[in-house]
Amino acid sequence: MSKSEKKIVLKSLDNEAFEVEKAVALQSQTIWVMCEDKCVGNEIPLENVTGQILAKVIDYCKKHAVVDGDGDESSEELKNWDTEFTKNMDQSTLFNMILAANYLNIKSLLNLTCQAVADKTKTIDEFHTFLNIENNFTPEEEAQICQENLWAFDD
Amino acid sequence: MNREEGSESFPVDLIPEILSRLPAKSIGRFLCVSKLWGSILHRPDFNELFLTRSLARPRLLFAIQGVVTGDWFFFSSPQPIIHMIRRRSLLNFYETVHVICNPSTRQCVSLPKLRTKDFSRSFLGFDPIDKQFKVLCMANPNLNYGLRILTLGSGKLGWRKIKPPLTHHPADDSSQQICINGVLYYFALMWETLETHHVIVCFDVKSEKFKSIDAASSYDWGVKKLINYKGKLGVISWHYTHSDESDTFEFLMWVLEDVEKQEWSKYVYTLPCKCNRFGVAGMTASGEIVLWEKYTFKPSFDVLYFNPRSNSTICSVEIQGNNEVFDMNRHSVCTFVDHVETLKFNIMNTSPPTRTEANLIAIPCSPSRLK
Repeated sequence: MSKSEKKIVLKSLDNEAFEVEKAVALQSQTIWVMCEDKCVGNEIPLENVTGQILAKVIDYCKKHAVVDGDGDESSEELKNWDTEFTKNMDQSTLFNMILAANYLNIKSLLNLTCQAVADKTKTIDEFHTFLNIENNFTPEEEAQICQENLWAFDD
Repeated sequence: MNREEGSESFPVDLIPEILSRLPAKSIGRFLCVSKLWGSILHRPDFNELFLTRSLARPRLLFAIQGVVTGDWFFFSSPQPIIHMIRRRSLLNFYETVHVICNPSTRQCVSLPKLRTKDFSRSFLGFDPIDKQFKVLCMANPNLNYGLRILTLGSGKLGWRKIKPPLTHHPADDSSQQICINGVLYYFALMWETLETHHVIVCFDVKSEKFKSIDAASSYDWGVKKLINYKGKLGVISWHYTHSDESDTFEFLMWVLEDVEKQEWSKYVYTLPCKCNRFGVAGMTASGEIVLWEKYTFKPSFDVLYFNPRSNSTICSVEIQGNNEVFDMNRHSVCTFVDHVETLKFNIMNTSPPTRTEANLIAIPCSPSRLK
């Protein structure tokens, strides 16, 4: 047991508190900077992440943390775990996970969740729903762009 | 704030993070989603990001030419986790010209015509130092016409005539070529007085110097394929034996350890399987040998990924097609491993960033056999 094995508390947007080992939480660059700056006490408020999403982020960080001899997970196993981790998440959860990974600055989780969204989302409509995009092309402009990129539209 | 930026909850800078992981075809479709997306997807840094991601997910590419119409069909499937194959693009060439194309986006460029139709062997090489593609074109069988080289670039394209220092006769199948670290390799026959030798010609793309390596030993078995074995030149030849007890597919792999000394190391692998109709497509960057069913009577074919280190098949996939395209008896098929999708087609004006990209662009249309 090393001395650095201190615990910290992460508090979600909806005031849910999670006590985690520092090594787990420090995978987030954002938390790491906060701790470095000593601008926070033992409790870190995360204003952009809900408890439901934070719980999942912590699951991920626990799995990926290298804590005393806990880090001998083979990369193949870890990869399989990652696949299972995102497999049953719905689109809305995935998008929220991306936002959380971005805010907390956890590069590997950002990569994993972006890839999962890309793999699962097949149509433009699905992106429209979650990203709230309005098509601001005129029908003529849209037809013109489609015409220029016909290669993408044949099956 | 207009509604487009109204995806306030989702930062704009995360959009490329997701979109760069989609197939090239989806990118083409998503250009018309909104003006913001259109501008993101057209940015050079998005193209770079897309290429970086593509490099991490190489694909197996099939180029199939229909004999009746001469149309080229491109199909690709991921390596080695395979889904149903997707039809990529359709090209149509009727003229006897050399065409360079990007199978992901169907963009293509015709090279200037050569005066004589006898230039029937063509090769594409990439020089990673000056980041230039060069096309090498040879008359066959009469080498008196000499040899032409064309450097792809932004200026006016023109063929240069050079005199080949080696009198050689490139092998019939010009798909038997590979470019590794700025050297283009292909099989050829050479004459010395009355004797002919089987050689592999090495063409240094930058200096345009030729060299030949004796290849007689790799001719033990008839069929063979040039491969990139971890950056070294390799030759795989194979044969199939059938007996009442067993069916065996046997590989002989030669790896050129030292070009100057012409030192080869030799490996033998056997694969117990009924795969008499199979051929070798190549070796992936991760070291798997890709076998594909060359001759088939059904509108589908099988692909096997064989791992020589563990001597086992890691993945076997059936690739479905439709009758129109997959009538193998009437079509010629070229296969390429480690195909990387790229959105930009800039070989004519700027330099590609990596050696790997040199693998992307094949010349699927060395002079069309149609007319």
